Amino acid sequence: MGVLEQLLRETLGGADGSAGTVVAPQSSSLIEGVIAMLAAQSGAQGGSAGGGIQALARMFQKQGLGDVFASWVGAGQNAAISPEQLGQVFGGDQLSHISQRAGVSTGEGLGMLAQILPLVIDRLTPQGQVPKQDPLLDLGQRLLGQLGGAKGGTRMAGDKPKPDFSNVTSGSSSTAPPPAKPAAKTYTVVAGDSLSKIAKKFYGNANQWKKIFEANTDIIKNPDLIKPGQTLKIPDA
Amino acid sequence: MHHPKRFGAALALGLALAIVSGCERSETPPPAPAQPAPAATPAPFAVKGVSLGSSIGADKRVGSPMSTFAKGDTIYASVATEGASPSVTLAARWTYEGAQVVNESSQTIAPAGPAATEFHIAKPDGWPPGKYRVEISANGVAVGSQEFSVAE
Repeated sequence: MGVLEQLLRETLGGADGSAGTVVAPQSSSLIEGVIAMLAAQSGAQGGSAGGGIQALARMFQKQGLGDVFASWVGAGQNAAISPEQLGQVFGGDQLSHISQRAGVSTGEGLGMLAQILPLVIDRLTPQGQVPKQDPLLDLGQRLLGQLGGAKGGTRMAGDKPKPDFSNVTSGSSSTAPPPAKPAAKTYTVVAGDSLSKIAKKFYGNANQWKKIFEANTDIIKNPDLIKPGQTLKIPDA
Repeated sequence: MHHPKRFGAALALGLALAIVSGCERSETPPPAPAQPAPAATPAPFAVKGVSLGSSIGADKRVGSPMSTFAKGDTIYASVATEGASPSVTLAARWTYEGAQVVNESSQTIAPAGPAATEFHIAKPDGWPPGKYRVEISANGVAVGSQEFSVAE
């Protein structure tokens, strides 16, 4: 059992008084990846910026999700977070790496993290605030050691490190051609037309006129001035 | 007086002609009206097989299929397909030791007949030894897989 899995069991188990809460290995590995990432970022910044809950909170604040994160720390109901929002917080590359290491796709990883991360932060902040001794900082250092990312860490017996496939390159090709692109839709202006009318005709919404204007700036200079006979490109809705 | 005799001869001749022409009709039936040739229906798209190798040819097929690779090999999966489709997305998902995702990639094609599509992966610092698997899907539906190993 890994360091985090053991600690997660204890942490999550404490919520309902049971000591044996089952933690899915992939969930454990995902959280492990997030914590190790925070610790690594802290190390890269000289360790002074902190790699714990505060650093995580700042990442959420940057994406306008500070209130969501605060609800996990504070007492009361945890606000939900969507996988898409979580993707904005961590960024595609980081998540891809973390998910790959956990053996799941990026989409699966996001879904699992969106479920378990609020719970973990909630459990690590039982007093409704970040403890002076940030528990993620300690976990991060231990995990970095376990993953071989920091000096002084100790690997627990029986833990087999997962190979790193982040530098795998891939490609594909085929004897079959790619699908043909659909022919661009066009419309010939008639007397009495306006971009709004055309937008209403194609999109059902006159407010979409700008989309047509932007696709035809080569022939339309003034959106209020279109001429009968002009052939306009109509972008997909 | 001669009329009945001539009438009888004419009747006999007419009957004989009728019999002969009837026999001819039964021997050579008139040709059937020309039918338009049925339009050729393209075969539905299907994956015929997946083979692995450490190299491929210009035809996107592996020269000699193999299931054990060396640490530094580039690993190719060639997917043979038949049939036509205006658009189909083939995807390859490579995993290590049953769970860990190594790589995922896809290729969208519009085959008009038999085709081969290759996916390949490489690792600059070498593959960790162990068991691997590649799963191929077409438009999200699993259509084939192959297991392979990397030797120590």
